[in-house]
Amino acid sequence: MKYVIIGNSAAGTAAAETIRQQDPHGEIIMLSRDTNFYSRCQLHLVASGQRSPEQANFLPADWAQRYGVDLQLGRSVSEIDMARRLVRCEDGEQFAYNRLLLTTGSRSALPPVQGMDGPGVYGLRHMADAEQLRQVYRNQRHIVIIGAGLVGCELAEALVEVGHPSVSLVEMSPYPLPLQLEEVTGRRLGHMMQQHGINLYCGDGVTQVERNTDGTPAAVHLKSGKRLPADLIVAAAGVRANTELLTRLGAECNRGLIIDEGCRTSLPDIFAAGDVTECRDVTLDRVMSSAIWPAARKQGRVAGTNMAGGKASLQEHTGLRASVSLFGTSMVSVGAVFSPDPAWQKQIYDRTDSRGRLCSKICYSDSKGVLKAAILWGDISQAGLYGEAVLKRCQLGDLDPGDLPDYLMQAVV
Amino acid sequence: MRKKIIDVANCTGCKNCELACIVAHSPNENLQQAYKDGGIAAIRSRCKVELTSEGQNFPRHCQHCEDPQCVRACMSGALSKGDDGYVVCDTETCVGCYMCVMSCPNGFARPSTSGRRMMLKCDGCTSRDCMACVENCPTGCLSVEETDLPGDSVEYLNRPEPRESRV
Amino acid sequence: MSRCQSADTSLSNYLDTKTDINTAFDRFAEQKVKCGFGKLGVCCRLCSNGPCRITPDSPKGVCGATADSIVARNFLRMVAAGSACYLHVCEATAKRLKAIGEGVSPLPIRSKQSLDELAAMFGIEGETTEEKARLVAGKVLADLYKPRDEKMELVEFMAPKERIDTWEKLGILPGGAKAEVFDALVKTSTNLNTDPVDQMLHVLNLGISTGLYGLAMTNLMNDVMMGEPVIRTAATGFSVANPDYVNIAVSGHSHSVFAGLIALLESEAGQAIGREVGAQGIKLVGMTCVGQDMQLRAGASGTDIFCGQAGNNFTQEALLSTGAIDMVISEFNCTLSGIEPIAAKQNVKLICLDDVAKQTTAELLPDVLGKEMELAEQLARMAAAQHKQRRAIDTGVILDIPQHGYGDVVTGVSEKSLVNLLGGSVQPLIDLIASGQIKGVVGVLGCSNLAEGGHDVMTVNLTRELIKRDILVLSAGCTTGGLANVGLCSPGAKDLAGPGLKAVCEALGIPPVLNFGPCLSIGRIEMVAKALAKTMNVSMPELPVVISAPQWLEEQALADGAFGLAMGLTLHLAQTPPVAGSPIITKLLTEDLPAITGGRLFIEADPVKTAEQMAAIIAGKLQALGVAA
Repeated sequence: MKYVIIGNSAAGTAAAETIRQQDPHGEIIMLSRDTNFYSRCQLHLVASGQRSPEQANFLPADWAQRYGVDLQLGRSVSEIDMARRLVRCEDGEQFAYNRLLLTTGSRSALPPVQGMDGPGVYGLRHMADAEQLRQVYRNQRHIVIIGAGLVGCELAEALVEVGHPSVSLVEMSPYPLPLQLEEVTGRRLGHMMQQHGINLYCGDGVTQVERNTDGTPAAVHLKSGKRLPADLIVAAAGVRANTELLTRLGAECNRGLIIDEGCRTSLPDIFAAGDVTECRDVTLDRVMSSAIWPAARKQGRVAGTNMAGGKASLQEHTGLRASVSLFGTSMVSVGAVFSPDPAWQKQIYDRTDSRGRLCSKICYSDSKGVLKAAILWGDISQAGLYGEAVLKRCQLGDLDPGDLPDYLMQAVV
Repeated sequence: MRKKIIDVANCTGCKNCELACIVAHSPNENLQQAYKDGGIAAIRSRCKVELTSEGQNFPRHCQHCEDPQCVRACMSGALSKGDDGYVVCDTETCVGCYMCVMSCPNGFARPSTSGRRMMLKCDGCTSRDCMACVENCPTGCLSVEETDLPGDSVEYLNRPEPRESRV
Repeated sequence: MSRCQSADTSLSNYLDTKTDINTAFDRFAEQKVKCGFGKLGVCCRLCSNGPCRITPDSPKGVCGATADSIVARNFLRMVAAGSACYLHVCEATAKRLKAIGEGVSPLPIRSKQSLDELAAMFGIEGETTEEKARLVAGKVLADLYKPRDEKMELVEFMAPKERIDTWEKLGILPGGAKAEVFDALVKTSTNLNTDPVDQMLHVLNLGISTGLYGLAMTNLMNDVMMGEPVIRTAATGFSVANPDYVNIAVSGHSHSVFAGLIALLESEAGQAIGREVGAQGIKLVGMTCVGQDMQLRAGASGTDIFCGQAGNNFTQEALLSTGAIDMVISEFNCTLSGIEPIAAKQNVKLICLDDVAKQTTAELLPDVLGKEMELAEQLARMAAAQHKQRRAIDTGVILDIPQHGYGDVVTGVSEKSLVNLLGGSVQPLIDLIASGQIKGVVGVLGCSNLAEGGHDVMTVNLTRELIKRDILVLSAGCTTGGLANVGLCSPGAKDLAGPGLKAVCEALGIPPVLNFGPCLSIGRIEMVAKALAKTMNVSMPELPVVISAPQWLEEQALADGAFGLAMGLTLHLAQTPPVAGSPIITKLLTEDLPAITGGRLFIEADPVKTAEQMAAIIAGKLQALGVAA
């Protein structure tokens, strides 16, 4: 049996490990444009210089050997020939497969505004982006990051932490992390970021990138009319899934490749996992992207199992789960806190603990007393229990959502 | 591997297990020093006695799960399940993203309260002859037995009944 | 981990808005897991071989001490500490009265009549008021300072004859009160007394001096110096604080320590200090028991410098977060450490007048006999300066005083004012019981805690159950603060009473819960019981009365409880004291005590079951007396 995996990040490597556990003798070929392994979640730390590219490797040095994977790194795939079951690379090399897995991830999408294309504008999706940023950011006086999602916020924090004096963050929504937080915690985070020296512009958007005569960025112009000086721009406001290899062949695709519970695409013997996909999300009961590390790993394992002839399905799968720590405050969010059903009851539990730390729980539950979504702020020790309750749809009965751990420690084994 | 047996009925809530865990993971493994270093604030215990909503003491210890969600969620490669069955964290590699905290269905992966951002979890006291918590339990609630059986490394006796069922 | 709740829902609601402060209500959740050894009393920390904990596998300490010995030692130490606390207040009060008598202290004697009665009670003759004050106080101090083998002389005037006889027979008539505390410490030290029965008798001995001196004697001397309680209506709750004034919150138990400050603030000159900083004057706000004492006696002074009692012990952190308080003065206990960070945040000045109550961030200004007025002026000026600073625009303190409490709380009830209300004797009360119109009297006393379902929850629920059953409730201590803030000490509470009690309330214009003020007034309630026993010509154990400390908190409460048991009363607690690890002591307290002092301890956490049991106990006693109910 020949397995070809395109992509070498969370999903691809999880799949390779799982295939090997099931099939000790099959041939596993891993193709990737990247030349080494790295955790995408650490790119902001590499960009700011807090961690080296080598430290961002999430696999042991002997990984390929241990799992018997034929690594073909630095190779970009140009085409898949379904009839002959071949994968062709740009360099002309081709690989035969019995089962193919696509874990090609996504790429930064630049906002379509005047002047965005050109030098001095970076994304933060690949190690190359991070290494470039690390080399240039110290010499740039003003950094503007577009998009206060996870990537934008973490990068802004990292740059401020290493002492960069002028970091601006522009976000369309009224507060940062609009997909992970709600009004109260979102505004609180915004306030906290400003206190730590980030110039935050929420409810605003970039309309134009002004450029110097030499083509380097001079400033960004905002909807509100403000003009922010900008020597370096990071676009962290959106991504596009790298689906082209399969859409060309007619694979079912929305914004990502649609996969079923077994991580199968609509094409025979072709699987997909990770950021390139869309699948059913248990918290919203809707087909959507699940672009978080643990979800990619899980899809990789499910795909790997099924590719090797086993049986696995994506149970209790969600991408609506995030953990982020900014300026010493940890936050965890689970469920669709960004678009709560109007029928959900929202309860806020705030307290100041004995160390003087503000701790909050924001809980959304439906009329049946089922916890639908939650945010933990400050004290996240019990975040896993809240996540478990949402994913397993535990009914709380007469129990206050703020006391959920009491219940779960008994209910969930 | 060693299997930790927890007889919930015998827990009196003295928190000796928590204290022993703090001391075992303090630099000099010395009770006084652990407190002097701000140990109670800085070094968190890996186990914790909780109170159920029915008022029963409930000692909670990492189960070193067969399918550990914390390892599954780890993006830095710090967490792994070893051949000995223990799920351990390489603190040098950990960057403190807390996706393990987010993912542990039992709440046993917790953020460290010391200066550096990293997670904390039970390491099974593999470098010790006996697990510190078990060694210091005065009531017979915690005990240990050798086993070759696969599965979680913690077995609960007299575990409180679930309050509610799932929908 | 949700915040501990209070029976006082407006307090709970207020705390829900104060998420930026950490209070006992938050910390209670953080501390919810308790050590079972501590709860059972079977942890011994007396020597370097320890701490030893008793378990089925290790039933004795290294020294050989059994669970009974360990529990007894721990318990006696707690009671000794509690007794020492009340005796400290009694001693301070006697020293002040003596200083006034000697002309050292410039403070007034506000009730000459009380002094005359006290002197007459003790058979003391004196030419002048000053001489009487000197002699009475001297006698009290002499008793407190006697060695252990010399019995205290005033005991015989303070307790019924049958009690004295019982105590004598048991060998628990106390010698010098401080010496008894001292030897309790000796007795409970390493490898000394291991006899649980002897130690429990010592507990009763300490209870007697606590009750007769620490409580009752302190009240009697304070009546002389601070004036007698007068029944009236007054306000309670956070709403009592008027932000137009400089507000000084008072905390502690020693009313006479504030005699100088009260005298100053009653004067025009004192109020002028407040006006100088732009306020309308200076007022005192009751924070813990000493405020209850002021509330009780404020009716006698005819001035309004005391605004009212804000609440009980666990409301103080919330009180400070209202922003209305400029200064907190503590002279004794029940000021929580938890107010310190809140005071820092709200820019509230913290002052201690006695080093026994020194808080880390408070300034200690020792109260020196004879220098009371100088101290008073210093305090008033500091408070005024603090007020000015807090109201300066740039320091911008935020005022957030909620609608909280009741404006019509009936207060000023004492053993004397109650008798006056009844027409000169306790006989009408006895008649009401005998006729069955009211079914008995229960004292709901002591502290508040956050256990037992939450702040004041058991206290309030038990009281409601009792008055529903036509049982009159007498309350003193933090229980009163809690009951007043849920309206049970207001006349309107009659509607929650059974028909018999309600009719009595309407006839006398009283609520079904009589507010005796501070925990020191537990001594007053025992004096009411004594008067009932005397009038009915029965012994204390025969009285149709039960006392309860539903939410006891501290060591002092245990000493009070020992007093009740020595007096032969039936005592209810909701939470078991740390003695349950000893079979002997548990049996002694709950089963054997009726044959020893006539007292009895019963533990019950459910308010309905408690009320039912109390009603049954009282009915049983009435039946034994041949009084048809």
